Amino acid sequence: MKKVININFQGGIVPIEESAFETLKKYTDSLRQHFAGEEGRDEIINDIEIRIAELFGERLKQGEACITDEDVNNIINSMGRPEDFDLDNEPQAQQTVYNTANGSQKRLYRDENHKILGGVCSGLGNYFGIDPVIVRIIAIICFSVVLIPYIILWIAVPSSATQVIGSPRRRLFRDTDNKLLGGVCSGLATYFSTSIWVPRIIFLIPFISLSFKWGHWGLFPHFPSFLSLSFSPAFTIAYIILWILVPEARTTADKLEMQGKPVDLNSIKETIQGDMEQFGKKTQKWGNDLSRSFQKKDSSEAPGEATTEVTSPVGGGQQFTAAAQPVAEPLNRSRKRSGIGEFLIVLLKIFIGIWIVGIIAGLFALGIAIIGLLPLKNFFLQGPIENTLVWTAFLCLIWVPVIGIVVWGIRKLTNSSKNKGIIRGTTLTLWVIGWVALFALVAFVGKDFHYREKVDQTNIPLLNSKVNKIVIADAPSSQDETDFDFYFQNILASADTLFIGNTRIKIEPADSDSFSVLVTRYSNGPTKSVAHDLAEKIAYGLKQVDSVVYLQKGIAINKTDKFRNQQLQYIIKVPVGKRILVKHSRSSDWVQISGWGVTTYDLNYNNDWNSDTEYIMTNEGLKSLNDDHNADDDGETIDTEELRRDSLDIIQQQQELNQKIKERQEKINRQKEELQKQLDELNKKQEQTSKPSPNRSASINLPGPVRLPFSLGAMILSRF
Amino acid sequence: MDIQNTQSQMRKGILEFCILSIISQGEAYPSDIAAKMKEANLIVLEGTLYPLLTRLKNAALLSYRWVESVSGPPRKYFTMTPQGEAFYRELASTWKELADAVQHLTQNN
Repeated sequence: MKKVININFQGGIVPIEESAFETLKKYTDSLRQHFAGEEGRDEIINDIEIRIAELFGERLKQGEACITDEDVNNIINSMGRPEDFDLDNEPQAQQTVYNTANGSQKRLYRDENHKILGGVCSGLGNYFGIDPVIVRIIAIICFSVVLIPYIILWIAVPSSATQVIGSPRRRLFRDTDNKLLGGVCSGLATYFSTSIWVPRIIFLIPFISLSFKWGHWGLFPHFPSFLSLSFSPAFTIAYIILWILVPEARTTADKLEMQGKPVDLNSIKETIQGDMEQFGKKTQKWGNDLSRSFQKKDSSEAPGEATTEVTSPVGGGQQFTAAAQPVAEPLNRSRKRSGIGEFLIVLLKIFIGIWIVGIIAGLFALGIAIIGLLPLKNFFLQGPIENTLVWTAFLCLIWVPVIGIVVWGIRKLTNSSKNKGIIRGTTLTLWVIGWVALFALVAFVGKDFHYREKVDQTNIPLLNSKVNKIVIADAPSSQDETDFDFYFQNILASADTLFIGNTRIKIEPADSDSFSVLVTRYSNGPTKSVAHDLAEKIAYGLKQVDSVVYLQKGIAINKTDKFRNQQLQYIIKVPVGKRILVKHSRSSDWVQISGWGVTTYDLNYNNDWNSDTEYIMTNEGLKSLNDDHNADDDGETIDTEELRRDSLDIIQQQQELNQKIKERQEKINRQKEELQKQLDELNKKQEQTSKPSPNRSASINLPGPVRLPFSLGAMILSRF
Repeated sequence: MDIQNTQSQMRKGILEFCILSIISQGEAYPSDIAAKMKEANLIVLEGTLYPLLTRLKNAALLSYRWVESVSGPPRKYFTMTPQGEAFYRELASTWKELADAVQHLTQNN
């Protein structure tokens, strides 16, 4: 008993068995398929349908109640199946006729129906009779070598829009019906006609070996070590690559190709018929179970048994849906979308999303930080121009992008696309304005900092300058940090004053034997004179109590004078042999703002000394008196006695030197006197010998006076 | 070499010519053509005819008209156009040449 339906066929109503109708439909579909590229396809099919309708009419006229399966099959036989058609002038048909045995006739085309990029691999696969997927895998492995030839082939090889029906080639698919993860192993197993467990075990080898390794460590202490293979991720990577590259076997044709069966209408029909029969059998069985359970319920059975029978329909229901799945798949040839494109697109989207989130977070944090610094603005900027520039730059550069991106996100989610251009335009313009404002601001402010001047070397007299040791400490301030509106490290600000710890201390040896403090003040400014004035305005001061010198910790800046990188440098001169100790500042570091950066320096900037360490000044510089801190870093421990002896020695040497100088001085004086005496004698003698005695010739007297100056000269010379 | 392949090639070659010669004798509809060919022992599937006829029609060698039928749907009756006639005459002379040649060659064997 079969169900009969009425169909509207070519303008007439035809009663036909349901299964016969299915057959008919498949036939017309296959015809449509076959003539896909043909011009006038619809007309041909229409003609064929008309002929079939005619034949139906004849059958019904002969007294048949309806068209049966047999009738349809006969008609199809007489019309012929598409693959039996003798057709010429069809390049498509040529491809179906020429199988791989006749390879010399084959031409290399790019198969654009089965393409991922350009169909090059598919075409190559078709030409050589290799599964295109394998060609693709090889191409990806040798990617860098293959790239240029691929592009050349893409350009040079013509494309053919073909549908390769009927080629008995075996293709590699992922079998998602029998899948555990992605069906890769099932597909491979079917392709190579092995059991499904063979590829599964191959892919699981690294994990098994890993567990062996662990077992080797803990659980199985006596496990033979030669069996522990190392975990190689190559297999896992290969699995993932295959998962991406190998297409799923979706349609029935795919499944047939996977098994290497020829894909023609016969086999497709058989497959589907087979599925439908199974489906039919299962529904029958289900119906039987149902009826049996109902019957059993009627008869007096133990309740336990009845319940077990009732559960079988539920199980049958599951079977039903399971059986319905493969049959429900239509014989359609949807374009095979390989997973690789989707995978890459998803990856790209994730990457862009993370990037955008990072940018928003960064800008937001920056915005908040700058809001925190806003109170300081007026100490820094001058005039309404700079103020507006700052606000503009701040809002446009930081908040506009954040708001823009958030708005864009919301619009994406709510799919509203009106005013798209306007919003994008305004956002972009504001952002550009922000950049312009920022550059202008930099230019303006830079102008104010153009010159750097210093006022130097003011000597601050110390009261107890002759002590042996002084201690440098912070001036205790009456105000605590929390009294201020704003404090950050060493920048304290109240409503009208800003304190910056921009102070440095330098320790140098003194020329004399008393301590002294010199102050140098620096400042920047738009012109030299302004800079000089600002430098002079820097208030400095020190307070001395006994041997402790309190230095001012920071510079006060008010709104009129503005912050212009004012700096204060104390130079403390320590005589040799005297000591100095610098107490650690209350806050850890002193901030020095120079140029455009805010850097944090310890008190010993440019120096080799640490705070809270006592030092003694020697000829070579400061030497630490603590055992573990040594400014010279030569690892010696210094003995205080030795130091004192050294200093005494130095003093003694100095005194000796002075003595020597004195002695020499005296010696020279004495020699001078002696020379003078001799000179006087010489003069007297010369006067005596100048009175002439007429008898004696001048020549006879000559040796006398000549000899005298000669000996005098020798005497003089010997002195030196 | 596949013999069926060669056989079907041979048949394909003369199919058009045969169809045209049937139509030249008078207008005909597809199943009629198929029946006549069967009479002449040249088996051809109806499904082969339809695309071929459509192609010939598209090439303006044939034209058709619809004829309403009492029993069932209307039928297409094909006739030859003047170009079709010229085409057919040329094919006929080609066929004559071929037939003579083959005859000559097979005789000598």
